[in-house]
Amino acid sequence: MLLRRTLLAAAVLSVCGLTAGCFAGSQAEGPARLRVALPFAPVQSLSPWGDDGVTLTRLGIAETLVRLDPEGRPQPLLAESWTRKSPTTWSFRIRAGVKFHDGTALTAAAAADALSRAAAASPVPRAIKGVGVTAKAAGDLDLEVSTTAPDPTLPQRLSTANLVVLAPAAYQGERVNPAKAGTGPFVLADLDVANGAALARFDGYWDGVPELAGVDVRFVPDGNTRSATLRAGEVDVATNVPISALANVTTEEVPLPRTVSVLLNTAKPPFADPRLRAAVREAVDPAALAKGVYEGHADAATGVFRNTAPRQVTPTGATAGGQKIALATWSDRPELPGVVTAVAESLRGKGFEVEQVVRKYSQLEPDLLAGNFDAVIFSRSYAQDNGDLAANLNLDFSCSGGFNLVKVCDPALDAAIGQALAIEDVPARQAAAMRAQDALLATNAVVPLVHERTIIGRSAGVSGLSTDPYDRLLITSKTSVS
Amino acid sequence: MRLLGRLCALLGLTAVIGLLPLLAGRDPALSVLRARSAEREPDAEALASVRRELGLDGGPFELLGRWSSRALHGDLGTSWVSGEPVTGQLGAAISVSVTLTALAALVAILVMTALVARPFVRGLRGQSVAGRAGFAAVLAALPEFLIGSVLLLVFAVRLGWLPTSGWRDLSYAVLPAIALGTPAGAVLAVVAGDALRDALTAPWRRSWTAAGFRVRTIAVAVVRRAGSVVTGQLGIVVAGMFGSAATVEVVFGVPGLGRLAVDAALAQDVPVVQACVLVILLVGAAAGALGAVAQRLLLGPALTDGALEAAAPREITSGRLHLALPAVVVTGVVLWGIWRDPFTVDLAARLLPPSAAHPMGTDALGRDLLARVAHGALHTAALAAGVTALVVVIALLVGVAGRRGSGAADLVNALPAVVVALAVAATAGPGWTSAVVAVAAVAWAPPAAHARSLALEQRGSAHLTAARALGASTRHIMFRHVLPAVVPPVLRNAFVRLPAIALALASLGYLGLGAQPPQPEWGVLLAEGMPNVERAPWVVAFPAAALVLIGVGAVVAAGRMR
Repeated sequence: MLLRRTLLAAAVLSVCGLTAGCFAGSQAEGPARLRVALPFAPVQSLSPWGDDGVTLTRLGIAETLVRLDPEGRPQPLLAESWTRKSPTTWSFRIRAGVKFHDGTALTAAAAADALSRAAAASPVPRAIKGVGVTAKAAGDLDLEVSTTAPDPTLPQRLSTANLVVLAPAAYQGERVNPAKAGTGPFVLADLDVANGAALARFDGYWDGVPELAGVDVRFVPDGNTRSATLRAGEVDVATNVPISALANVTTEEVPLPRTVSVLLNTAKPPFADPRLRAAVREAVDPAALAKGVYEGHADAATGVFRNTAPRQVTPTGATAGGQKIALATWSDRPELPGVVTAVAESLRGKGFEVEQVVRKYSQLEPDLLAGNFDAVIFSRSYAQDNGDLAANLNLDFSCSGGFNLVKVCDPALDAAIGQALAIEDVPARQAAAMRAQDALLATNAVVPLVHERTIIGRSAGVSGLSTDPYDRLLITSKTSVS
Repeated sequence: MRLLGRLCALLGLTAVIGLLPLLAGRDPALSVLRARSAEREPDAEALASVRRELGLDGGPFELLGRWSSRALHGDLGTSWVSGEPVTGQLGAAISVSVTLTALAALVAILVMTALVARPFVRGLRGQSVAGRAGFAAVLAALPEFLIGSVLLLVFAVRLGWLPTSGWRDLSYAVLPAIALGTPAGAVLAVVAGDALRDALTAPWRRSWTAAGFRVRTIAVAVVRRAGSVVTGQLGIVVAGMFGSAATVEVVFGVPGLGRLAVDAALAQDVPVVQACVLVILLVGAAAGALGAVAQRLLLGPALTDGALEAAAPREITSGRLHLALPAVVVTGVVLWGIWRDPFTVDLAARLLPPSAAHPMGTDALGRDLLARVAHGALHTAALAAGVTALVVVIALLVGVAGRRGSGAADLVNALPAVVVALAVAATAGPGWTSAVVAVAAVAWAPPAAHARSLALEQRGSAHLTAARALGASTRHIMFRHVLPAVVPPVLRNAFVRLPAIALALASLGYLGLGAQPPQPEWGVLLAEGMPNVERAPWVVAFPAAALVLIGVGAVVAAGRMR
């Protein structure tokens, strides 16, 4: 018995001994530090040129030259002002007195270096892909950015999180190390963030000393667990709370420029037939989906873009005659499998024979790009990177579009998109894009269902969280917790 | 020589599993691009850029060459997705998984001990040793993610005793270890129950008792005798928890090895997949070797000298009514619900609690749960039983026929089914066959190791020496002595895992293998219901209960088989 007890004690001790080195050290948690749970751990060592870029801006570590306001207009951030000197050249005036976290000053040369590095990254960030951005310093605080072709939306492009300006020391060969290299209100100390990160306040922040003493970040992949961390009081803010886990959570809902639609493959039967596409549009009930599947935490869509005026269409009454269709979606967004089942049921009611396919996006994409599905329930942001509706229409629905999954090629639609792309004034350009959208909706190649919202859970004492619809900002110098 | 052979097999398997995705179909450049930026459209320019950066232009065999030459120097390369050295990522994940597995093994041993304690004590007192496999089967049938979510809601959110997620100190490992260790301990309890029964009813025990040995002495001897079978299974179960704990690791946000392997496999991050597979295979081989050593140590020279005494063949349990209960209940539910409609969506009737109109309530799309459970029953049970039967056949062939150990079983045992499934899907394409192959490819290992250790003991038994001396043929010995002693415990071992196999089959759905919605497969019902487990427990409780009934029924049925 004694031997057994000794053995047991030894086992327990050895387990504890083993673990001593295994756990990341406890992080200091003062009252004025904000604890945040995010869904995605950095995948690329916080390199700004991939999805990790958004993590840098959302946590207030790094900043871009330009930011977008909720209407999609460019506003000053690290650049105070800009002018278009020629059709292909823009001059940006860099904000004076901005310091990087390593103490060096932000100059036009540093900004030019950051942009040039991004333009040479593998792969080139989406926002400036094919634009041919070159940047050079024209003075201490004067930055000149040129493009190969005239581009009225260059300032908007520079607002993307992939184009944050980091200190020159951050760029080492082909790698980027954003530790102690941002300009934002919070300092990232080192890159070892798999278990979370402790950010310190940056007292030299150009827009006033941040209210928080620091930010403690952790990454919790499971949505229900993320909500649980908030309810257990372990964090003050949890982002991307799933709709099924909203009970007992204080939330802020941010309408996103993101639409869930049925994309119909117009290149092959049955949806080469416009009558059957109309049948799909008449089968679905966006309001019921928004209320039912999304429990009211999404908005029924009248168009691909939010705020589209409802169209007056006379029903065709078309029905299918038992055509077999493969209707696909992906499981990475928790509500999509529910949407696909509800839509499939509606389509069966219209006489289609529906086979459902639900996979992870990475497993679905090759078949998706090969056009192997007849219909796809797709959640797509229509304002990524630059908030430019015309460019997004062009990419997704023009004959030469790079992501034309519906394979639509309509001369009238192309002409309308072309008109929008030619307009330089931002509001007029967006209005022209809305008009082009009418031509798109008339084809019924895309049947919009709902516009999504993102849900941020927070404890009662938190205030000043950013509700940026472009999902680029979250914690700012004005955020506080009591 | 044998060690060298194993090492070569290990490296070969690693290289092949890591490279399979490259050889078939999916473009790794696309997967890597997707892992780095989720919504970027994959234009040819970006893909070419990634391909150039990763050196994919040379083709799979050049990659294999580069990898093996570096691996021989201990350099596992850099991750394709993050660009970080693999060794760093891997080291962190290994230390997490080692801690978690050690604690989970402790939980498994405690659960097993608690479950077999009563029959053991009764057996020592000379009473009936009928094992209580029923309760063990219930625990073994509970999905890890369900146990995990319930523990999290109760102990972390409601009571606030333990942290919800993350990994900072030992308290973060408690809940995941319980979620992992409980079903594992229950499976072990079934094995241990059989082993203890055999040891308790062996002739030597009667002699020892008659000779007036103290109960404690006899108890130690019985435990030692039964331990020879259990240690092998314990090793294999622990290795399994080390490599395939991804679901639990996701629920609790634990940055362990299972999650790393699955994420890397999905992102086709070949260097990371190869490193993970290599480590998992090594641990599996080590656990297998330890099990074999433990068996030698516990049995001593008796094993090789044919001096073991085996129990008399076991009598068939007399037909007690309550044993048939699970089958009756499941049949009743099926007959009740099969007439109802499992597919009609009614968004106005979401998540309704059980009532007269919907005896099991409705799911998140307003579908009648009773109908879905009933319609899913046949498919789930038949498929899982089919895979289990296949697993038993493989296990017996490998375990009984093969004299030279089961190195392969130790190796594949710990691999996550998802990683294997991706490799299978890459070569065989999506579909049911791939799902079955992938699950069976991993699941045959524990029963095979069990069969091997039992067969080894049988062959080392004194009565076989006598039979051989009397001129019995190998065939006679195999069919009259070895198989009758090996088959029943192995059947029970395999069938207690039947619910886990049903879940594993369903969990491959998101890879495009196996069940797709709206099919009412039980594993799919559970996965669909999990997000709502707190506000509408019935959407999970009924499918889980059905799975438990099938599990108990399978174990009871296997217990009666001879």
